[in-house]
Amino acid sequence: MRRNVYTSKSYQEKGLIGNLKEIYFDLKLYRHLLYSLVKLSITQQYKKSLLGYTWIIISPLLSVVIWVILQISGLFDPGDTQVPYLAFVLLSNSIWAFFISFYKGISESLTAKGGEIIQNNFPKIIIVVERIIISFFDFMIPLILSILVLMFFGVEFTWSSLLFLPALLPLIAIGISLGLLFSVIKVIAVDFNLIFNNFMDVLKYLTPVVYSTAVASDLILTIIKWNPLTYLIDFPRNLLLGGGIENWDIYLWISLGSLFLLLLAIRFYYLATPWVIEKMTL
Amino acid sequence: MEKELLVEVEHVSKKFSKNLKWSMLHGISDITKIAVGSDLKRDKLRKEEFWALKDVSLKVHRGDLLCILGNNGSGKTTLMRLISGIYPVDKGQITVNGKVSSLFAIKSGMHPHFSGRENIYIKGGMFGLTLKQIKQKIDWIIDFSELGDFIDSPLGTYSSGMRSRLGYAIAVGTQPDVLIIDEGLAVGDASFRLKCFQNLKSISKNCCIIFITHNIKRVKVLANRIMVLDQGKFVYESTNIKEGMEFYIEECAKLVSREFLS
Repeated sequence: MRRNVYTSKSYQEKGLIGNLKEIYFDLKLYRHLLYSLVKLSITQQYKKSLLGYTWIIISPLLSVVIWVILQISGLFDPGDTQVPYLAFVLLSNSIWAFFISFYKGISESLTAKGGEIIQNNFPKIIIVVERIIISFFDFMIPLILSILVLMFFGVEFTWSSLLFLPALLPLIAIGISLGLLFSVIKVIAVDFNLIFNNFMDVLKYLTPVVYSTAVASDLILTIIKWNPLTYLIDFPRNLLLGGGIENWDIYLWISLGSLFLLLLAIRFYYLATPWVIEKMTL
Repeated sequence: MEKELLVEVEHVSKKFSKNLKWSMLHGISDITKIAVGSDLKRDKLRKEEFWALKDVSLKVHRGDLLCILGNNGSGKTTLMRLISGIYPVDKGQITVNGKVSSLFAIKSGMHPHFSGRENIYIKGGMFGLTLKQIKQKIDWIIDFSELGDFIDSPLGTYSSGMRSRLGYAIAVGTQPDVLIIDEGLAVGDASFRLKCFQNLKSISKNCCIIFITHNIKRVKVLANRIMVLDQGKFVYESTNIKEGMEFYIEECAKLVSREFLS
């Protein structure tokens, strides 16, 4: 029979390895809850809509149309890029949106599920993993669309393009880490998240997402150079587009750092979450 | 022979903040301490904090149908959340043997756009059931909740009584060792309430049930043990239900007269 002992120290005793094991066993035991929550998140958005699931395709198509209109109008005079700018922007934007969706989705997960958490004792990691799955789901359709547009513009894919998704993992790890940290903070006070949300908006322009480095000023160039996200976005993007592979050593070091950050964030999440749950009633 | 011990609460205390601003400030200080790895020192009160439960001990055995009475704010729900493992304890220790299902707000975790059947799968998952276990139980749950054809209609079309019937049926359907009911039977019509009481009596032989209510009549029908909480402490315990109720009513009367005189 299951035996649970609760003291004020129960959460410290396990250690990081213990937490990682716990994640494994909880995912196994609660896989049905995970499945239900994923299904709930996807269907919930479209339940009260006449077009229903067609929206999964319509929304990304709309953004393609908007970018095409902007391109035709000639509003943009971007720097020199090897691939058509439109396709470049579409792809880059969906990578950035993918990264942000981890931070946003996870950072709001505890407060969004507050009502359930206060009534039922289930592992909070389930709602984190649910957000991760939803992020992947939301990314795949725009990604496929971007790839189709790229192919239309005559970009040829190579075998190294297949490494694109695995090469995004460090960026994902940073997104998840930030999400875990801010999900706990958000339960206590929303101020920090409001500030950080704005910071993330600015960060998009301090990372070469929608423009290439050719157009940036000296100051921006310096910031871009020291911004770790630059390498985490550039490297996979070049893999996909068949551009030159440069700075792979920096990429590897930053990847190692992001893994370390993720482990720290998981440990923090497991230590801090129990103590903020009672604040959900406030 | 001693009956099997399912819940043991030993000298447990729990504190809360009285004030929202201070709750936020203490919260920030707590997570900073966690981040740098220093001790939280949960056993002392800080500014604007109070003990919601103070040095509470309790043992519940298999077969117990324990009713906890107490005025608003006496710490009943807090104690139930501690036993469920939702809140962490600040002092003391709680040992729970077996599976706990708790029913706080009976309708929580239910989604209005989804059918009753879909909600059984979602809520069942929250209680930690696997798909296989839910499939085994779903016919019983649908049958017990008396929803009939409505089970495939969206929950939003249900009356509040129908929703609570479903909520109750799911919680009992999980076959817990410890069933916690916090004001859960407040809704539902008379015939369904009676059905619940009979059901609780019959399942209580194989598990333990802790329930919280302000409705004195229910205690008389159901409980085989009674405890009274007052300002975070147990002030009365007995297996004599009648005496327990008299004690509680007297306490209430004292409180009311105190308020009138002051």
